[in-house]
Amino acid sequence: MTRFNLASRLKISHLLFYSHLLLVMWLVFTMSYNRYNSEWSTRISHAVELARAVSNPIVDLVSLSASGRNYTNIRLNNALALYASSDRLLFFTVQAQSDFSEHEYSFAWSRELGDAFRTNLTFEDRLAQQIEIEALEQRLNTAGSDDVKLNFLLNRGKELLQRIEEDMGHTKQYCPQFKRITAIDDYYLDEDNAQLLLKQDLRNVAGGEIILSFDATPLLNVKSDIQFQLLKEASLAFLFSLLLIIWATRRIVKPLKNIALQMNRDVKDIDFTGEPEIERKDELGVVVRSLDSLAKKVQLQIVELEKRSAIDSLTGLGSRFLYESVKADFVAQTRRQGKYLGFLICDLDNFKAFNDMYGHPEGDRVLRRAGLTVQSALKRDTDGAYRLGGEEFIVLLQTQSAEDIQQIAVQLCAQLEGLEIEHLGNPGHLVLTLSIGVVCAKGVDLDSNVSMDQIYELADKALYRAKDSGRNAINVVHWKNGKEVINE
Amino acid sequence: MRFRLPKIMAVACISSLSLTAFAASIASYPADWRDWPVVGESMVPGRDVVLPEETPLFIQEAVAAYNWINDGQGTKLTTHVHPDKIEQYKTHGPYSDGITVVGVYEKPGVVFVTEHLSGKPIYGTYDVNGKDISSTHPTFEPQYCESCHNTYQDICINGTCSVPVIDLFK
Ligand code: HEC
Repeated sequence: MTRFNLASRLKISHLLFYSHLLLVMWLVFTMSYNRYNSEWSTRISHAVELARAVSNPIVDLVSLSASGRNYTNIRLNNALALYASSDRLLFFTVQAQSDFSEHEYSFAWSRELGDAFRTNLTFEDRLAQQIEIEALEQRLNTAGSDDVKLNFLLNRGKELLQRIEEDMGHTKQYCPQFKRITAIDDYYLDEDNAQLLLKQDLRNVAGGEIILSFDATPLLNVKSDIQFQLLKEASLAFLFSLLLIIWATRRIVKPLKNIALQMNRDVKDIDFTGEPEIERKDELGVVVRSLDSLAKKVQLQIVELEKRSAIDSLTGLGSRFLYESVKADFVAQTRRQGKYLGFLICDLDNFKAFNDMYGHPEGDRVLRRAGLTVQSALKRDTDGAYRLGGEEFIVLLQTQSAEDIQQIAVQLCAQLEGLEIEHLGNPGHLVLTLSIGVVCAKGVDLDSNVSMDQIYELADKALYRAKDSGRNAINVVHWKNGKEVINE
Repeated sequence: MRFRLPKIMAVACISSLSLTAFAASIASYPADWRDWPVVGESMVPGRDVVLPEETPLFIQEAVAAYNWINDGQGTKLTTHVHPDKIEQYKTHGPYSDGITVVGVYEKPGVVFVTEHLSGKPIYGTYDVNGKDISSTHPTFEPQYCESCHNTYQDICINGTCSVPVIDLFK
């Protein structure tokens, strides 16, 4: 019974606890995840918008330059200032097609370098420039009137050569870094290198694209901020839910446990009065109230059944019910048989003290042994022993002589004392003892209007006297023609 | 050589190159440009004219650069090519030495000169009397001319700006 209740309690509490925990975990997780996603994507699109806004004027300038393959525009001071105006922009590369020829147009800019440079120059380009310079120098050597113009062109040529060489050097130095930029679609957040790559189409007719790399460190910082914030909120929500679950679980399981404990007790002892559950307005309250009324009904029925039972359930002696049914006949029967009637009220001495000292369960055990002892003293079919309640037994005897009755009483006392059941609350004896009030009556002396209750009364008085005389004693009353003769 | 560079211009050029104290034309002024064949006539639209969207970006820029001329009213632009260089002009060079082409803004009379030397273009801006006016406006400076003619390598091949001109020959 106990184990079953315990198991079911655990099952319910675990079921409630884990199912809700799982539910809460799932809810918190999905909500946090969704919030994280939306928050993060908002931040990203914001960053992308910002990057786009930064890149738009650059796209305008580059598109125009790409259209006619202009490499001068894009490295004028105001162009460089434009690129550098947003400190998030780290570098960009341009790959485009001229609107007017098959030539491709490509250059790059790097914040680190602080300059733009062509990225498609070859050794042939350099060689061609060198040859041009040589040609101009040769012409200058053959003196003529165009020296000023030739010098002008020579300077321009040398500047251009220097530029070509510088650009080739920069391409070698910076472009491996740009190679990381593979085909991207609109934008790409490269978390490993903390950069946001944005691809924009150029607006020239033949088309082209610019890929810009922005510093994504602030964005990534925001990301970890969001993560931390959400983690904080999620754990708070989780903790709160956990407490709620524990509270709810306990509110259901604890009453169940209480009910189980109550139901576990002997049916006679089940009592829900005073339990908080009985006041509950919910289903559990209904259950507890039904159980309470069921227990009360059962208890009443048990009392009723016990009353009607012939056997005293504790001692196995005859019950009060049986006593009541035999007592009427007993006097008449004794008279008819011409025998002596013996009426013994046996009472365990200081038994209340025993119960107080050793507890009721021990008291019940002792009562059972006392009952067995009393039972064993009975030899004849007509003899009967009854427990009317408490520690009081009644023994009814039909004997040949009054001495027999007395003898049995003495034997009863001796046998009980002989059990040597410790009873420290029984002064002078320190073991369990018995006092007996005895009524002896000759059958013929009992006329028909003598009732068992009268005899009972006499015996009870005798018992009182026996107790008075120091307990573990017998007091005998002889019944003679309606008169009692007291005989110690 | 049909055109000679005046001595005074040479001095001006040197100072412009070395000191850039003020701008001066590099190309010389061809006094006889009025006798050269006209290969193109077009209108520089006024400041208020909105160009059609499909106009090449470069042309839009060129128009925007010079629509201030004639007080933003727009004017006629006539292109004269040196009689010996018409074939070279058709193919965008290679150009022989000497003044190649002039672009003349009718009002208020500005002559843009493109000359070639050793195959390379040089530029100058004069009024119709041959006076160097390149220092009178930033967009008249030779360096500014280069920002289109030399840098838009696919439009102005060898220093002459192809698209609209070539179209005229078709
Ligand atoms: C904003 C760009 C731009 C600038 C700056 C510019 N040009 Fe031009 N130039 C053009 C374009 C475009 C054409 C062709 C226009 C047409 O024929 O309608 C052209 C045509 C010319 C022509 C006619 C021959 C030809 O096809 O190239 C001459 C000569 C010329 N420019 C000289 C100059 C001079 C001199 C300067 C500087 C004072 C200058 N340009 C500045 C864009 C420019």
